[in-house]
Amino acid sequence: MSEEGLVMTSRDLNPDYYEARRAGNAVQHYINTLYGSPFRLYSVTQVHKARTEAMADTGMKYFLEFSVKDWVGESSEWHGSVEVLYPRGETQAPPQVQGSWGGLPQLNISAKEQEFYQRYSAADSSVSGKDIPDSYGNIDREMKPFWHLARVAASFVMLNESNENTLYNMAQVAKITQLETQDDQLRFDYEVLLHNMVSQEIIRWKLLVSWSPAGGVKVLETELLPRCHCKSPTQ
Amino acid sequence: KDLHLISLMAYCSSDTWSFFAYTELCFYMNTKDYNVLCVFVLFCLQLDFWREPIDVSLPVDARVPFHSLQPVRSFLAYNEIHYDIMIADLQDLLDAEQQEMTKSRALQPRSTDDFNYATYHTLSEINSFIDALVQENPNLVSKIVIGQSYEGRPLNVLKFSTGANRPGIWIDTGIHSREWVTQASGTWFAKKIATDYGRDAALTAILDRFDIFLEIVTNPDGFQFTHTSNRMWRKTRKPNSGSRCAGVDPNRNWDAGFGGAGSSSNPCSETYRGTYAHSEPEVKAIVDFVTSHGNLKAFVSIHSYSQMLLYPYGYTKTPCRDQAELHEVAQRAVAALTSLYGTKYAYGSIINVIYQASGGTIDWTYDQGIKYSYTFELRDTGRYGFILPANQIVPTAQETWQALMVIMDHTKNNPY
Repeated sequence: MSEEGLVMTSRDLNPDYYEARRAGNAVQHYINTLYGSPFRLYSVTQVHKARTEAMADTGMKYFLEFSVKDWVGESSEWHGSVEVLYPRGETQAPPQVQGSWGGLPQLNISAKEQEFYQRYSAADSSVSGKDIPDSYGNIDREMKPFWHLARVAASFVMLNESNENTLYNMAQVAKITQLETQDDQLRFDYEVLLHNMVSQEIIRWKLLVSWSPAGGVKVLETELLPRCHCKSPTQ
Repeated sequence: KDLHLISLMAYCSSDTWSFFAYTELCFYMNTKDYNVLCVFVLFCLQLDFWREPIDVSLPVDARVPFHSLQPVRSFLAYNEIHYDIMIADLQDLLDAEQQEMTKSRALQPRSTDDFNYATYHTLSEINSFIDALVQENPNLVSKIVIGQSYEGRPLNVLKFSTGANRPGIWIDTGIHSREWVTQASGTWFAKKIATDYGRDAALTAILDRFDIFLEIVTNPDGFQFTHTSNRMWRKTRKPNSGSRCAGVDPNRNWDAGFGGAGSSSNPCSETYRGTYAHSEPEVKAIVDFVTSHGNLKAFVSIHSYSQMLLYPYGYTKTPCRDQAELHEVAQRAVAALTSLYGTKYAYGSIINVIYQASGGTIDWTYDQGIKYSYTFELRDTGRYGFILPANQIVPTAQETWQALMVIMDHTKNNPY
């Protein structure tokens, strides 16, 4: 690929090592923003092959072959390939992910989604909760779809925040409060804790999330919350 | 103002103070001659600064003895210095913690056979477990206190030994307090060793040649904090002077590439390295133990999560001298682990597999000459992360044990 006389440095990566793992992690978030649901969540289980190429003006591109599955629906694993471009620049910008997802396992969840939607779109519905899972890893069965929904919503933020030096997971839902249904979308105020494996930091985000079976998951507002420190008299 | 100074001086002569009814005051120093104030107040009122005056912009925390309450209050009011009472009665707090620990002990299972390994336990429950295990196996198990944490908690190490002057194998769990599956696995390992000696040929052969040292709660202050205040706490609990953030990352505090890339100089960071290597008593205690023992042959430090088995180095890309052998052993250890429940692990050097990390435990132990230095990252890969459901404790411990046995077996068969 040197028609323009540019030197493209292509490098094979060990698929178990951190560069490939981080890129696979970004792909996972991307897939969940597209296809995640209170009843469907994807996990990139393994990267099989990885290669990177420095794209002179645009950034660093990763070529991955990987396996992914829906762990909520317990689907089979699907083997896919994808390109991830981390843009150059001083400020954080999300990686651009390119792949074809026609083969991604998409189990039929419409009955579950409808039932869940009906239940919580009742006028007096006001779900709330905190610390999901709790310190011991427990989640009430009824709260599981809300936990899944938080993970999907968090995926939007985690994808936005991803770069070659991050590896995000959602550590815990600190708070969930149901707001009034609007335009037929269920709406929730979430406070989630994200864990960045690379810095080891726990980062708090406030998310305003809407969902319906037809509308999918939308993150309407996000707010980065400050760390908890010793309270000062001026606060 | 002079009147107040005189009345403060009168208190200098009082010499005894009891622990009762102390009040801690947190106040901002906004007077321009604060230097004079601080020294004077400290000396005369026996204020115990928990966070010392550094700069007008930084808050000050002090514990005020009962007899000093009135003069301190009136001095602060006169000088319009704002303060908050953070703990109204320190004695109450200490009494409550003591009560909780006594109550816990009263509910303790009578034996380690009754102990529930499939649930998460508190610090006092684990300490009771340790004492019970020693009591039940006096010819095999003893407890060594290698030091004290910053907040004064004992650093307990279980020693499994069948004879004198043996080389040793070290295992630690819980150095990062939020990684609860590790302390839980540590208790399971302790019971496993005590149970399998004399029953399992491989473990018996190992213990007939080596001592095994197991520190289950390597960071007790942090562990207590994850129970009482912040489940996601990772570091030690030592305050950092000049900062409102506490704690040092005990896995960046070792003297191996200390201060390099892969650790932070910011006290608020989760990977803060500390002011100097081995500054943390939790780390220094192990350093002193390793140095004075002088004959450890394997060292395994256990973390979660990510499902990895790692060997040195973390601080440099230069491969360690024994890379090929450590890699081969890791491969076999992971194969044994996976054989139990299919749990997949990655393996390799720290810097290649996970990230650059300076001042790490096993980089130091390796450079001390402990060839078989490994670190684990246990389950899972991010679904639950630090908050792994308790029903995964025993399977995690069981599969990890398979890997540990491979490492210990190899250590036994390859003396150096």
